Amino acid sequence: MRTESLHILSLFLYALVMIFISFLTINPLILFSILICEVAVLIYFNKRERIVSTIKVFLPLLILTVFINLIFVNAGIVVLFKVFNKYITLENLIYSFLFAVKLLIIIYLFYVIEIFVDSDAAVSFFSSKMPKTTLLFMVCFKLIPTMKNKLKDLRDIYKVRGVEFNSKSRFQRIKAQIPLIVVLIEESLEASFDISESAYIRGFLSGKRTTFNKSKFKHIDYFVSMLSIISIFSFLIFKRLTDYNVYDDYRLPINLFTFSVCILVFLLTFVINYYYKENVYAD
Amino acid sequence: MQIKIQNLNYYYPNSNEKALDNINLEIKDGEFVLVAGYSGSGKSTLAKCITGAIPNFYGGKIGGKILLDDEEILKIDDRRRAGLITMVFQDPERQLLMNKVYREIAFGLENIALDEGTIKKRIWESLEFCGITDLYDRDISTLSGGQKQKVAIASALSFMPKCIILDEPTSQLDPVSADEVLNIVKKINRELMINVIVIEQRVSRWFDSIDKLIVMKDGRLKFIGTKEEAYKTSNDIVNQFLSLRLKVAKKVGVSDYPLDSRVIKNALKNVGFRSIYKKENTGEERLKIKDITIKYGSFTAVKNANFSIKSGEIAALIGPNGAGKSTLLKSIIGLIDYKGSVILDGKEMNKLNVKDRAQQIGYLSQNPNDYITKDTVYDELLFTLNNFSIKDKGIVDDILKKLDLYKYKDKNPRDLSGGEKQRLALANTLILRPKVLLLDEPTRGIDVNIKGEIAGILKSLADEGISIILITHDIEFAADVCDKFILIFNGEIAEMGDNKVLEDCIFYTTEINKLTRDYSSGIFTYKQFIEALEGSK
Repeated sequence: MRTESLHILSLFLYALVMIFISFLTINPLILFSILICEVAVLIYFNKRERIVSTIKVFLPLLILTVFINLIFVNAGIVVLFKVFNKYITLENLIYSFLFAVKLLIIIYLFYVIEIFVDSDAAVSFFSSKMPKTTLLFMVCFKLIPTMKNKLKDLRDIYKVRGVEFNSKSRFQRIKAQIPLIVVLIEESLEASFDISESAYIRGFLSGKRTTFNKSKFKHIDYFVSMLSIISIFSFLIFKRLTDYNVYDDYRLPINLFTFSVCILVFLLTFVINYYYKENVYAD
Repeated sequence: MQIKIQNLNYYYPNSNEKALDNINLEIKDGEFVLVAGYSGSGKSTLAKCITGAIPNFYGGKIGGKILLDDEEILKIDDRRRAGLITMVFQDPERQLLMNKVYREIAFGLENIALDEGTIKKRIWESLEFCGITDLYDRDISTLSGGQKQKVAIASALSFMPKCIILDEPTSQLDPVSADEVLNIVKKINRELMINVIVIEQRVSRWFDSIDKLIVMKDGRLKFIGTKEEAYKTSNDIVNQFLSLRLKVAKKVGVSDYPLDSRVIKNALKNVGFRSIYKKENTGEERLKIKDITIKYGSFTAVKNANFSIKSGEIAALIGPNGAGKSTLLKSIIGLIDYKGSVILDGKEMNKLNVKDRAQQIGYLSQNPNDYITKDTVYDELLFTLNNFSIKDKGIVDDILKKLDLYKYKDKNPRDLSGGEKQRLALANTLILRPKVLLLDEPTRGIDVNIKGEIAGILKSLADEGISIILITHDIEFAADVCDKFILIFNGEIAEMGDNKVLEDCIFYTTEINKLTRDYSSGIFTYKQFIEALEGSK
């Protein structure tokens, strides 16, 4: 049996739409619609641990964003409290929170794309369109899991060499990572050279490539692409109507135009999720 | 394919030293060639010239000609060249680019613009030929080292090239996987008549399969001839690369190249041997491993391991990959949680953390490059010393002198040779004056000369009373340096004791022991063989 997944281009378009909307708006309803879609996909594909581990990183980042925003911005009307002669306003807090959520959306989007996209198929497709850039990405992506394993081994070696990774001082903990980074950088440079040499020997960049298991642009791909384009255009057309400026009015911007963008985001993710199936090549 | 190399000279970029010096060579159609030589002899450089990677990928200055079927390699376009000649590298991790096995094989074929039907056919056929069809859509990251190397070979084969070059294809593998790789390569040469050029430092495994032996030294060819000619020559360099089986045959006067071990064994019937005894270690018990069990979830990696070693004793942990050897070693230093006890000089170590244990137990991982982070050899040792807040810096000089590294104390460790780096890694461990040393495959991927150096260092450390436990697949090395042998299979210690343990082994013993064990006990290495032979005179 052979099941077809979506074409890499339609998935790519979907990712672009999500990134584009997330970057251009701070409307909480739209941002949370995207976030809910992403979380739902991750839960559906049993990636709960990724949700949790990212949240663990996100929380300190949120605190940092709030802190930096409080230092530089004093705007807002609803004063919550006063610290060191600085007014902490509700608007300020909401703005910092939404800003951090944007970041979370981007991180989760990468996880979602990882689920939907067969990376080999992507490499195969993009290699025929822009081979040099693909080689660069291919080497990077290839090195990440290798470096992750290597890092674990190096931590063991350097623990034995007396390096304390669990020191109470944050400075010491950061300093402890330096020898590992030195070894990792040197090793990854050598490894990227070797990988590129192997690609060269096997005729990479020797001319136009063919594509094995070439994915066809199916009806569903046209549908997803159209939906993505409609989503982005409706967002751009209604942008002024969906705009949200927390410092002017912190209340939720409940209006039909905002809802229409949210619904399109939900619909798009639902369609992709519904049509997504694991590739089974053993036909 | 006929490969002709005429007056080949090569300088790497920014180097004034010739990496290849006036190479003239002819490889006939369908020949199986073994290129032997120590590290830095120019073997891999020669291979890269034949594939065209030198100078197209590496740059540098090249002179002379390489002709593939009378066509100059540098005039062949990259696409046709990739289809004609390909290469399998030493480290499978650094040559596989895709995530799935079938995609990896398809990658090369897409590059040379084959159509989809042909690619599909080639993927299945190459997998079938290598006996790995079950790996078709497996994720490459889940494969063992041996399986990855087979995928790399299948990928090379899928081009249906005229020549495949393999650069130390078995140096990172355990003996079982290495034998499997050898059989596939041999089949490729014999059945498909594809030229095979294997570059190796450890030649024993390949010797019987080859048609031609090439020995290189300092970028020059020192010998070109058939294996029969290599057997008969008195050329010292060639003799260094003869398999041990052949060295024994030569020593006992087998005049023609012995096609298999039976000929040598027959010749040994008429030889008298002096018994070989290894001096028994009379030291006190140093390290005791008591009821160690290690679990990863529901999987038990080590089951109830019990053994002890005396002071000055060297023990070898021997067994297949995944048997639990490294896990057991890491548990001793405290890097892995375990149930049971580690007792050093009668004191329980369980409550000590890694750093505290490291002051008494040294641990050396496989790759000496992992120990290089500083700009000088001296600073590298100082780094370890400072981490343990040891004020006496005099020990740095002592250890450097002891391991013959003092002359390099201000040199960048990255510029050291392979053997020197291995000694530096060892120095990093010895600087804390440990009572026990744990070594994870200290001879992996290194040449015979360096192996000899390491054997000498380990023996002298043992003479000073340091107990050593080492993991190795190199039984020859283990038989040379170790007093105790611990055979571990599937997480359980199957048997342990002195070298008698190896004497009735089917697999985990040396080539020489297999030849001599019916006539004399305790002969495992060539040195021991000579010793037993001389005694009989």
